[in-house]
Amino acid sequence: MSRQNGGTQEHRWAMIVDIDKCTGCGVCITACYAENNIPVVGEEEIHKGRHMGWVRIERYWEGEYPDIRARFIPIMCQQCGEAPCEPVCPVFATYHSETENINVQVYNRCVGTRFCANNCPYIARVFNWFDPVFPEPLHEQLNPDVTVRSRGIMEKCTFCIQRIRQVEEEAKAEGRPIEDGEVQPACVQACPTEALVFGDLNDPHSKVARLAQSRRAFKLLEDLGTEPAVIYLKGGDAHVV
Amino acid sequence: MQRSLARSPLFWLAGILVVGLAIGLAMTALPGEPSPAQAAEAGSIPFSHQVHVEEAGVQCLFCHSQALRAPQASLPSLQTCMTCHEYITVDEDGQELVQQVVQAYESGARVQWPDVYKQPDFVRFSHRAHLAGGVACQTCHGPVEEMGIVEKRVEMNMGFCLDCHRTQIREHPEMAAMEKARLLDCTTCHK
Repeated sequence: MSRQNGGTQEHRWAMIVDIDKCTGCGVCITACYAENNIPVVGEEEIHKGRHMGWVRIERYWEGEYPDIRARFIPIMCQQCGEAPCEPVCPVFATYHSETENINVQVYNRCVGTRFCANNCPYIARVFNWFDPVFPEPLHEQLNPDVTVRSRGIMEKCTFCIQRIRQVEEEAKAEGRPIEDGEVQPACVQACPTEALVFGDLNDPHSKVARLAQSRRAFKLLEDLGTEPAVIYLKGGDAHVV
Repeated sequence: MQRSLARSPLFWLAGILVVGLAIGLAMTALPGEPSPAQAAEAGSIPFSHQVHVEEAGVQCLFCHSQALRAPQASLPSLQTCMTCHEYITVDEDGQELVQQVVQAYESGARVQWPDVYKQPDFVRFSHRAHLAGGVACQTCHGPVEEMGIVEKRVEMNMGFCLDCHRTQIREHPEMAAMEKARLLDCTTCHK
């Protein structure tokens, strides 16, 4: 099994985040807002902790002055294999997709209990406290492949499932397997330093499968047993200052 | 004073002018027959699928040309109409519908077809995927070729979709397990 056939075999989508390459520029966040119709809530609401971004970049300092360096970790939904958010949803709005092995949120089923966000150890989920507003000219660039969520709906990173579906459909219509690197979520596509890599872990020749074997690899809060599909790489001195 | 005003020719001239203006304004403001271009843009071209598909034998994909390639089947522009109606310029029954379409095209109108089936924002549907799977247009759209003006015959709701997906699983036990799971996976149809 060198490559995945369009629809007959399961995928295990995974993302590699190379912290040594991340400069904290925030392009992944911008790309995500644009791709996934995420509303901008304004300064006041952000101070109340109501930002809607699906990716956030956490900054921390390493070393002591004068030898001090800023490091950045982009954190998005970790698409856990054993997701703590799934079993607490009373209406099965969030569940594990068998075919893609990612954690899915079905917006039109969500009733907004927010149990899932409460149970997420990565604080990856955001809630629509208000109906979304897209001030001009932002309303002109809404992505038709993604729902505009309404008030009272929980949402989170989907690994850009609309792009996964599109590539799967194209590959199947053309009767060919999906190539490694063909599926690119918006953040991966936008990342200028290629700190983000996306692919199928079930394909042993994919770039993510190789990088996941790296000795620099680790997962966030691994001891919780959530089996995240986002794998971070962090080495010694190779990071960007 | 009164008498002299009524006798003055200026008074009569002004009167005639005011009445004339009022009649002119009323004539322009009154709604008349819409021009062919206006009709096309308002979505009121009485297009008959029965005449085009059943009688003339035009294939669905001739006008809905993106269905094999894209999620959207696409609705035709007036230019697509003109591929045939550049040559077929007369209606058999004496109505002047074809001439109206030609006039609308020549005046540069952009046709706006009315939506017959419209899915909510959270539904993902791909014509390409369904045609690749061998689903006929009529399975979901009803016998369009028998209809004059297209009407909604099938209620396309989640039950309708899932019924068919479940039937596929029942009738094709040889299907790969992942393929079966995909037919029932929420995100296959919900975005």
